[in-house]
Amino acid sequence: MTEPIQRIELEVSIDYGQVYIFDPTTGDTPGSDAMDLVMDEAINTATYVGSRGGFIDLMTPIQFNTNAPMRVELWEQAPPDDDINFDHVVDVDLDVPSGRLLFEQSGEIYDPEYCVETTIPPARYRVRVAGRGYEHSKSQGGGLDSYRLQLWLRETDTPAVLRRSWAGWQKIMG
Amino acid sequence: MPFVVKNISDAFARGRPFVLHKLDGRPKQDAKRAQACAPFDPGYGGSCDEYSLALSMEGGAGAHIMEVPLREQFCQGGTLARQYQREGITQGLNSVSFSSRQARWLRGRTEVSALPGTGGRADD
Repeated sequence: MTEPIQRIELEVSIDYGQVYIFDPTTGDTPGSDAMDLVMDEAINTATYVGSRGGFIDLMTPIQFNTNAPMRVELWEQAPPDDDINFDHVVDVDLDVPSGRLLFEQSGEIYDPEYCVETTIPPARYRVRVAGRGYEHSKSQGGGLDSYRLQLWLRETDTPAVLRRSWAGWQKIMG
Repeated sequence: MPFVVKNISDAFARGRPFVLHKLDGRPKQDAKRAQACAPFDPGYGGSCDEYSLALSMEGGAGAHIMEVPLREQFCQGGTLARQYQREGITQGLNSVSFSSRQARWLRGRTEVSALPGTGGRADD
């Protein structure tokens, strides 16, 4: 299979170098305990993408971008490897029991008014989180970064897997 | 967040307010950030940190800015959200506030590793 079942193009807001991706019905929302736990995990494992239950913390070296392109793709199974097209790629688990998938910038608590929302089939997913344009965006003042989520059904829980690591993280995190 | 704390400390020393009020509305926040950080040039590959916060009514033009490591921004975003949640802070309510004791402590420090007791309300 070389094409996704569905493709959704969004623009999301990033602040404090993060965007939260979550199903609000799970209780794991911005401002909840999950937020701190997931960020710590993302940093400690050097994946810079953390997840717990229905919550993902996508960390990026871009401090803020209020119109970051975010492509969401649904796949029947794990998508083909195109990691070379991205700076940073991580696979994580994500539960979306309600089918509501929200995106909220860091620095805010969950407020439906300011979230970007899309709808996908309710399910337990494995998600490939990918970001690119990091170097260009940093060197040219921002706005050139973009992101992609590829989701497919999962049967078991699996730890995060760092597939491709952006070299600049080491300098940023010290 | 030693660099962020130093920026806050320096801002206090230059008369910026101890009490900020949460500003809702992303376009307003973006405008205030642009006003605060637009002339900013990160000489060390870091990020622009502003006080008063762009997320507050007091933010925007005249904010005290300083280059801080991006890793401190990761922590700051979560810290603010936790404080909003814990204190039930919404539009117009105190978003970040410091007691006079905390402010004195901040002013007396140039390098710190943690900011004690930031959950309190202002007592000034």
